[in-house]
Amino acid sequence: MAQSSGRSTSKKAQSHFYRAVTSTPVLASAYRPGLQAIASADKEKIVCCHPKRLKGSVCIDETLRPMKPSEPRWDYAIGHSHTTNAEQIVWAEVHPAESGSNLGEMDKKLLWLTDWLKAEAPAMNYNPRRIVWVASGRSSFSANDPKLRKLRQRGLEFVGRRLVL
Amino acid sequence: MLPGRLRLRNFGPVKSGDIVFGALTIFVGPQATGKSLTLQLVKLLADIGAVHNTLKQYGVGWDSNDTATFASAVFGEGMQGIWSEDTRIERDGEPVNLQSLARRGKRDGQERVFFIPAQRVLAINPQSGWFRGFYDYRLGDPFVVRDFGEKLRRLAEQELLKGSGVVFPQKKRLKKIIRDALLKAIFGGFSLRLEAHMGQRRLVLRGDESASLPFTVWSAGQREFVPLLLGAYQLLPPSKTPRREPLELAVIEEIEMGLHPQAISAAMLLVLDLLQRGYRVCLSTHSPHVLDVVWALRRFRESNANEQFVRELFGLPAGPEAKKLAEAALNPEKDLKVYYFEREQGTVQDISNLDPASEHDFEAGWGGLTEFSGHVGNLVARAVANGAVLR
Repeated sequence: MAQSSGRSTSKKAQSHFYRAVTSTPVLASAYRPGLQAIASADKEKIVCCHPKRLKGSVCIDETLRPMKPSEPRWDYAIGHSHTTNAEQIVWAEVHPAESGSNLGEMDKKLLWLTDWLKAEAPAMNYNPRRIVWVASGRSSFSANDPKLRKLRQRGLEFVGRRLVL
Repeated sequence: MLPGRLRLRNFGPVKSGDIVFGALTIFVGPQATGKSLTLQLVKLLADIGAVHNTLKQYGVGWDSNDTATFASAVFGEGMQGIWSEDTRIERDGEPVNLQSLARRGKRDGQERVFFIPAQRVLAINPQSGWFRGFYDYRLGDPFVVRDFGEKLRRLAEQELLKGSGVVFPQKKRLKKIIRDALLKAIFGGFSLRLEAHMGQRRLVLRGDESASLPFTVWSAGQREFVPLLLGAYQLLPPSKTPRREPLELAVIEEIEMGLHPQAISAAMLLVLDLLQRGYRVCLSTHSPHVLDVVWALRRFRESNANEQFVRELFGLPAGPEAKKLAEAALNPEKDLKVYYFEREQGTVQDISNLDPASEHDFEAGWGGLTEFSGHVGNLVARAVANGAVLR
């Protein structure tokens, strides 16, 4: 259930992220304030220096698992004001970055996210946005790896082991 | 003895640093952060007697308590301030002070460090195409620059002039796989020769049927690399003796200077050869390519990868020579260390893991060498994700 009431509800109601999540039927009950949707195993990998700038979060992976158990689901969507008045949506995937096969997996996830947004979550398909791969462990790719460049050309950022918002 | 560990406080731009040297130690960081000064300090500490002897031989004098003149003679004109009252240096736990280094007296005169400076191109006089000796430099030039020129001049007169005139490639100099790689990547099939032109000896490049090409028409990379190659000749004798005793450490500043990445790979083979022969090596670099090599070697070792991976990394053919070179590069006893000299706080950070996913930007970005590239890549990704320019 979306955890919102009273004064905080009206604040969240102003958030583009909150409106987009709650108007997407499959996600309507998945909204969580702050970074509460982030799984405990990933809490140290996604951090925010200015919690007041957070507009909430959704765990896409967990929410869609019963409906799409075998699909390469994306992990999280996070609403965030990257400046005082501009809101962005951050699509974060915590995934291993240890071998070439991980690049293929991320490629599939990126494709899945694009298709899913168009087909089932058009309200979430808005800009500005960031699509971010957070390494779940050690990385086998240097920051200037040409293989990463291919995914970057398709819109995927690689931020190493920690995403700092 | 070579220093195994150096602790620095307020030495030039370095406010604080603790450096443990490995078989291969690499310094990275922006300009004027103390990399070269630290390498020169290593030379001074290891070869204090030889430095005194050389300065004395070429008429450089100072009173034992005149540390400013001594520091200028060693580190170069205007550098006497790098060692101030606040400077604290510990070598393997023992404090070192400039007064004791400047003091005249009988010392062990053995030379253990061979230093190939970033200014190595100055070792060849562009007008004559011949080597500059110690006297041919300005008085204020750093000791390692003048000393390097003098060593190449002696190499030319004592060894190279006695040969056939071909300096590179020579059958007895360097491993064949390394000669072939250098010949292809850096010399483009040309040979390096000594010849007399109107009575003046000079270094030239020459193809099988081409005219001699003097120093001034060489590519920038060739001009930078030839002094480095001749420095390597000093370290890698033409006989089966693996090392030129008592040298133990090779310092090479900015090995990549002027070179295309393929040529940097070929030059890094010289480093592997030095390591295989039992030398320790210190490099300073601004090249991500050099760190790519170190990163790959570290990960190969951790993954128990075999020598084939190293050969593939450098495009080396199969064969016993390449196998031995590659196996030596994977030897876990030859530890690989990387230090980042950062400017803001004046610290020296150990980034030896080179973990691209590190939460420390300075390690993930390899001391700034891949940081820009990663930053560019992520900005491009963000622009693409938004389907238009960023707002």
